[in-house]
Amino acid sequence: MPSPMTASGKKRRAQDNKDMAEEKKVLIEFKDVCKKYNQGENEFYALRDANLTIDEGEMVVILGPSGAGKSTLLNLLGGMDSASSGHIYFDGEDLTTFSDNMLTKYRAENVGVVFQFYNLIPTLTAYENVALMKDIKSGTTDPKEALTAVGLERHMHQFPSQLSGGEQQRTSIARAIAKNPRLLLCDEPTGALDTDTGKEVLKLLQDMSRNKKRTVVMVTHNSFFADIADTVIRVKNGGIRSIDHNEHPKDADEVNW
Amino acid sequence: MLIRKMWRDLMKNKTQFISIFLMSFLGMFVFVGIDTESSGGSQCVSSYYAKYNLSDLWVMGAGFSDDDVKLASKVKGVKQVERRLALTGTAEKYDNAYMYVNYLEKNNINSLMLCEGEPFDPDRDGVWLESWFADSNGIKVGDRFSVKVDSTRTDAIVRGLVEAPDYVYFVSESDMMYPNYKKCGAAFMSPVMYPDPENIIYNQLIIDVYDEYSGDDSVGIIKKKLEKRFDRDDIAVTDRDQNLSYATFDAEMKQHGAMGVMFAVVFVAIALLGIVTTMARVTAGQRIQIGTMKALGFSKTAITMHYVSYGFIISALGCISGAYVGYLVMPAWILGMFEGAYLIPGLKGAMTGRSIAVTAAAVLVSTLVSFLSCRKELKDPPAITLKPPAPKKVRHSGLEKSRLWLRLDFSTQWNIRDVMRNKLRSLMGILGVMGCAMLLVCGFGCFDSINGLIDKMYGELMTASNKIVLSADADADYAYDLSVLYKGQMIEEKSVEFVSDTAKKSGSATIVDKGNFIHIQDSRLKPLKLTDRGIAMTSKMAGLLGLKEGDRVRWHIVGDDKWQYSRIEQIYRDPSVQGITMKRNVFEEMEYTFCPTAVLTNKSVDPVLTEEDEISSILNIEAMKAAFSETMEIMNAMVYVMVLAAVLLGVVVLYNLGVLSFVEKTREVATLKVLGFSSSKIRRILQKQNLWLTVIGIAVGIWAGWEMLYVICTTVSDTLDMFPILYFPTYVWSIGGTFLVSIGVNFMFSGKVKNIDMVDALKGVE
Repeated sequence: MPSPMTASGKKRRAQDNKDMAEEKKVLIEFKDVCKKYNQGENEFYALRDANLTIDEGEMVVILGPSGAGKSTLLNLLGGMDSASSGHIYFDGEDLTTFSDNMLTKYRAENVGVVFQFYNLIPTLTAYENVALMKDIKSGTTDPKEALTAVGLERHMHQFPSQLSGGEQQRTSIARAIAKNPRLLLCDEPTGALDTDTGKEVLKLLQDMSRNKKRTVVMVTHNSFFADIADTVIRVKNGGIRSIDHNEHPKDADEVNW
Repeated sequence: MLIRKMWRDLMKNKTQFISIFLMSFLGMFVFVGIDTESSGGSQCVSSYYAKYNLSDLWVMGAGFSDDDVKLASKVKGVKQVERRLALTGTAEKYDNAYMYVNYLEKNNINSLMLCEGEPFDPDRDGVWLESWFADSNGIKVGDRFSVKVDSTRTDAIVRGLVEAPDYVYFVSESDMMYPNYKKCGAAFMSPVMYPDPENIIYNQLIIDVYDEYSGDDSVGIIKKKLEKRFDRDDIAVTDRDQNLSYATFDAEMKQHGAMGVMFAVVFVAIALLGIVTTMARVTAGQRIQIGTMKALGFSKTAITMHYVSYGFIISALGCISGAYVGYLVMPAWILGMFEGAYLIPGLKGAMTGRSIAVTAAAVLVSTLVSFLSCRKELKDPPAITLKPPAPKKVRHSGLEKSRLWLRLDFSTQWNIRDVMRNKLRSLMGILGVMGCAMLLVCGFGCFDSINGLIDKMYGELMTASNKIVLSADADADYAYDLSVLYKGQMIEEKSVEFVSDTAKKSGSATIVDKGNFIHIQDSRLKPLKLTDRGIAMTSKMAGLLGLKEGDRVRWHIVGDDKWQYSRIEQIYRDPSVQGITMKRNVFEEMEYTFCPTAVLTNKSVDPVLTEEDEISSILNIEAMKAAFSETMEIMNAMVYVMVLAAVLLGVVVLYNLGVLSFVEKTREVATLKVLGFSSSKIRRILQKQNLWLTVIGIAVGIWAGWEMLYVICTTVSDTLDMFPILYFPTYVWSIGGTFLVSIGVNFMFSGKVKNIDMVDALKGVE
């Protein structure tokens, strides 16, 4: 089950891309999605008329400067916020018609989130943070297995405060993947990490998409990350500026920033 | 996993949760303790009354024949009737102890509970003594015991030591307001022991009604019927509520119940406030965690349940253990103090439905309160909750808009804003200080009031420095000679029974000769002169009898069959002796002989005088004061509870508050430090707010303490007419004590200012 990156990665990747092209399936579709906030008397659009599609198993990077609307996009994808207008389809179902409870269920069943500041529960150990997922979904991966997958089996019983930033982020990823979500959302997952640790985390995420066939959506302001994605969505001033597809995404090791 | 998280969170915030625990513990400890004590006491006494068949009605009169017994038995509902002769006498061998002497024709009603010796037999010779009296005087079964009634001595072998359901509480002469069972006892004998058994005249009928007629209403009807059947002027029918022994204990239990409620309200209210503020802080502090859990897909219900369980677990632990420990400790302790006051065997606490219900309600309300305080963080979608909270909407108060505001210095402005924006926390602080001050004022006030009462009794109302108490051997001439010798004032003190349309009470009559040692005061405590027209009655007695100035009261001297029907000419107030006072000439106009029982004097009296037969004792005013203070032991114990509770309450609440406000202000304090404020300056700023809240709390607390003292003083007993008094030192102690607690606790926190690491405190949230 664990599959750290190896030299044989390249060869496999070509094969994967071919497979994907054959059975491309749309997982997410945004149709004219707007999100506006009322600040006093002023209306403020965090997102305006967004249209996009994300295929299952893709690795997507949402790129843009701070305040551009990328986090809003991510929140809407994850059912953590609701759109002001437009439609968001997940596997054909319109999230904008969901009630609070249905959204909660959607998050519990389908979405895994990795936060910039990890957001682990400080009073629970790494193992317990992952085991927490058993409380909300049945059929989760065994916590030990999930932590081994991110290379943390040795620090499993330590509290977040005893772990380094990278270890905490890996715990957070383990927590996200333990649910076996169809959609893995990452908000600046390397934002609080140094380059080397960041790379390891990126590798892990890329692996999720390539080998585990999970859809990974990552938000970042770091344009170097565009190279590793299958699809790059560029956002600015609350609007989608461009959507590009990489024919040959780089390996995470090859990126430098 | 969430359960593990909860335990670890509880550990992390342990100071606050411990203080919530302590507050719920204390609240329930006091309430359940006193509730189970008073209910237990009531239950024990009822089963004691039931087992030994306490009479439902008493008929007192000059004499009852066999026909009278038949007459009474025929009233519907009456189960059985017994006759007895009740007299009073003295046991000379035992320091002239006051004795209630009863000749019982039968003993199926008010049956005697045997403690030692042989059971009471109405045909057997010998005497049965109340066992506490016997024990404290070292009288054993088989000893000879002699009692003097009027001038006749009866000498008999002690056959047994007993307790009687109608002698649960009794006092000797009316000036003894607190029982002393060493100096006052009860003796029970068969009619064969009466000096002239053939011509014994029974003066009491005791009546037992069928159980189905034992309700208050039915007993009332039977009482009316009896009065009608007998249709005699010389009889009085009384029920249990008019019986001193029954009514005193009943009132005591009710008073405890009321006090328990007062305590509990204060403690539970503060515990709830503690839960609100603490839970609000815990949930606010875990905002990001809550957002994360939501983002991960935990349902609102699951998260709510999680946070609600904090409040639930802590308050349940606190309330239930408090209730249990209270139930174990308080009844044993308080009922233990009743020994020597109430002669009830086997007193113990009893768990009540009400205690369980109140405990459950307290847990429920605490849980509800934590639900309400965490709901706030749960209403937004996770995307919002994951962000730091929006700053509180700040509105300028009226004060801030006024010109005055600009003149205030920074620390005042800062503190005013802080108080306004944390109203609940400030309120809790004020309440905690208030509770502390209130209990201290009330506690010390009880001491003051007792001392005030003593000073009033011996110094204002009775101004002589010595009281020569005459024995029954002294005649009027002897007393007169003594009064001339010592320039004294002769008085006669008698036990009296009063009957009005609504009640029957026993009290005392004081007859004063010429002199200037006995004074009376009106209800506003202004001096009043006794009239020559008639009797004056104490306001407490008048109140108990439902009478007012100008009404008439029926009364007779205990042991004398002659009934009087007098107009109350004056109402006066007396703290300890309830009854009537009149001048000698008024007394003599009623065709009584003035027969002094004591001479009051300011001259020093030779102690050798006590060796004379005519003199029973010489009471020094200081000794009287001391003896009286001794009798207030239960009151004193209550005061200790209050002072202890006050200090505990103050420390717990203020500590909790300190933790809360300190944690909340850490960032602000760090900012001030970065700006260059010195630690001592910051400490002064923080203490200023504390000072304000403490001052307000103390001001309110003194008022509340006074009110509480008033309630306690006015309900303390039938015989005591206490007026609440607060002396100056009480204010000093209460205010000083509260300040000490408040400032001490805050000093601990403001000391931490130095230790705040600026960099750490200003780093990001989490």
